[in-house]
Amino acid sequence: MSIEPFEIPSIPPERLALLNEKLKNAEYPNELETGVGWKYGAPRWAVEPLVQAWLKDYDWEKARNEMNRLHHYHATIDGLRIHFIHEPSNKPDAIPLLLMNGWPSNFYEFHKVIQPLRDGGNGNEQVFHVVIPSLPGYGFSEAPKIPGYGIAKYGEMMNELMITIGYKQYLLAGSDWGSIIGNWMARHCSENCKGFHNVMPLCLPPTPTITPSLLWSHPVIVAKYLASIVIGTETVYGKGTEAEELAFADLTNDPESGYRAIQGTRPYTLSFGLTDSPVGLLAWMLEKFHNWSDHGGRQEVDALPDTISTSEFLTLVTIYWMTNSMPSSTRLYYEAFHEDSKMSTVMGRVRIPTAIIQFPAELAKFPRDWIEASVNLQQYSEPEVGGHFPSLETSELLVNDIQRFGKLLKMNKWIDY
Amino acid sequence: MSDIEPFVVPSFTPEQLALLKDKLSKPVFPNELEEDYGWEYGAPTWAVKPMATEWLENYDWEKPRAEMNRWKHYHTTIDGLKMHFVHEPSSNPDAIPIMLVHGWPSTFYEFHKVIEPLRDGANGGQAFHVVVPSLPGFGFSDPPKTRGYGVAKMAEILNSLMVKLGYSQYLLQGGDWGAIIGKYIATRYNTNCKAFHTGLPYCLPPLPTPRNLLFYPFKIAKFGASLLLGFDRVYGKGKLILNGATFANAELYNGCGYRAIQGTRPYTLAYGLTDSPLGLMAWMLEKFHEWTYHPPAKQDIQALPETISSEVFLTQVTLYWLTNTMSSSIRIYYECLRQKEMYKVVFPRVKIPVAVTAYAHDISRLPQDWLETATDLYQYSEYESGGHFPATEESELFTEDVQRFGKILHDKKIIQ
Repeated sequence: MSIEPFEIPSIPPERLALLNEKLKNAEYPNELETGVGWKYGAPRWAVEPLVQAWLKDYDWEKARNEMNRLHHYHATIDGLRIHFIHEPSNKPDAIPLLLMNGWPSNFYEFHKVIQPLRDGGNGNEQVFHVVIPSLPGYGFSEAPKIPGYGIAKYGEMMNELMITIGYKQYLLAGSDWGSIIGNWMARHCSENCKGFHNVMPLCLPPTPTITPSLLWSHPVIVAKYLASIVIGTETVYGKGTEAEELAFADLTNDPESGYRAIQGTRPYTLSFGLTDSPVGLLAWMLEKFHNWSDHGGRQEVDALPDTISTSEFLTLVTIYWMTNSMPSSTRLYYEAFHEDSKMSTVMGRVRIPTAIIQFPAELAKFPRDWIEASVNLQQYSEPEVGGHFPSLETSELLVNDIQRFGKLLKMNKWIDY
Repeated sequence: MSDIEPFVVPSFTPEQLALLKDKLSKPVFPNELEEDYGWEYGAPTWAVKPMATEWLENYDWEKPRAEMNRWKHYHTTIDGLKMHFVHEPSSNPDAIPIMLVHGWPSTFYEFHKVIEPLRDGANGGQAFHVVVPSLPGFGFSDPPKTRGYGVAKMAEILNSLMVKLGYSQYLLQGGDWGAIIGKYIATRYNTNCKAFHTGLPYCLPPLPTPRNLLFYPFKIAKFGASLLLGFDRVYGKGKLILNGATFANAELYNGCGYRAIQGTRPYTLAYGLTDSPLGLMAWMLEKFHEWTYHPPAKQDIQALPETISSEVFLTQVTLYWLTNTMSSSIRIYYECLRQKEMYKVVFPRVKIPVAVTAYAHDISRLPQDWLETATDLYQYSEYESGGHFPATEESELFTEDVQRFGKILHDKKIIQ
């Protein structure tokens, strides 16, 4: 279980030359002659400028130097070399914090929040010993070599990582897969995971048919839900609340789920175009960074939102490119889709103290009622701005929210550290 | 007829060939699991890599090009789009017109082995005036420039093409999208389309409609029984393959992920399939593997079946590559899904004569009962081999089946 220091490497010269050559020789798809915004997916007017920026302006070394100001390591967990950042605080009342990203992202998503979380500000903010892993198969962590590495296994490994580092109790914060894996860890690793900060809650409707105990514990919540079926979700819960059914890969219920449908069933076939063509990779990622972030109303004419810079995005892409980890990252969808009793990996009441923050441009928004019925809700926020990547889009807001929750954990002694 | 222009299938320009070879010579292959899991996760590198090497080192476009240019090709403008088609009229006085319609990820070349036998009335069988179009956005046909080119628009264009060529009555043979568009034509344009031959009938079960109650009460009862007792028990094992009867719900059918992504985000998908010949080829190889007939022991361990040579497959791929049409071809899924066209296709009954072939392996199969209530079924054949691309996999069986149906149509003067 040895921990070895690691330095984020440069791109090997041949690989960089290959990247530039492929970008220079890019062949673009045919598109309709009429403008269709983003209705058919990422349009060329959005993709091509970023390809040119990647070829002509982007400098990996700049991002690399920024990353290497922090301390990186590898640890062997379950036979796989797992990369992580470890930035302990030098203040005595710090608590350990595990930050996990999702797809199509990587550890760099958190680059703006690491120092504020570690050091705090001028006030009395909670500070943290910050740990940011690369999930297996994402970035600088080895990819799983055999089938079966779904949500449960990832959760086990991340919990094991924290214990290996020496943190037997910690607060967990996550986005996307980090949030889903975190949900599993919050329920199955509660000896170690003592608090859960979640930007992407997923819940079931509070019906007694799913959770009979709700009739006793939250009768009003149940009544409200049943009313909403009759008189409408927005009438009961307010405008903008979509209590739609989410689906993993059922397009009829979730038109956004095409990528999950292909990644969850044929990740190998998809991966050739995303691996051999950096343009293919960039476009595949750009669509998500566009669709899932808050554009303040300029969705149809923007590529990236104002809150995510070109170099930030290209750094995220380059990490995928240089580690050839897009294929393995998509396989998490396959494994999760085929996981035994997959519903129970994401559903089920979370009993540890939980903070929920629902950003307006996130993929789904649930009524607070539903959330209260599914987690031990100790903190709740509904900001006016932000989306799926809050540590990029609204980093200060996110940091404050995590600090506030950390303070709560500490004051109530819900974490013994 | 003045705007029908002859067309010769072109060579690669030197720049095009250099670009393709350059891209193929610097491939980056994906990370995969350490062991071999066959095709469970999709097309594996052990299948894709040799095919890529073959494409780079051995494949010679000029050879299939010469074969293709044995036939006469044309362009004509319909609905503002340049449509490509092969037109091989027969010298046989009894010949009847046939339109052979391909699907995805295929091209007009799917029919390369049957064009001449059908034209010439091989083996003393029925002869045909053969028309093989490229669907809009596929191969040498222009891609649509505006939204909306789904089944209905393509059907209109194809029917117009036959009428423009002077074939006011014709037989339509179609597979994959050719079958879907074909059924639409068979039900909406039956003044011109007088008969329909397909391996992919897309119809409803024997429901208790007034007509079915009158003519097929037992079929209705049998269908009802099958819902209770199970399809295999009532119709026989393997007689009904529905694959979830879903267009894009990958939770019901794990083979429709491609429809889900192509039906919603064709633009985003297209970059990897356009910029990387490897990406394009792997995407197509999965279908040419999964939808074709392999002897059971060989399914997991080979890429193409024995009935499709790598040269034939690579010709299909090269047609997409050369014309940059993978990106436009996948948009038919989007247009069809957005306009909910599948409902418009499945519901109507086909009133013109229909021939159905059930090959050994395909993505769907319906019991004969269903075909008899949903179509005017003249001919039904089951085969022990062949799959989703029968004109390529089993060209002789295909030709003979089409000829047999054509003879009935000729003798009964259904097509004159």
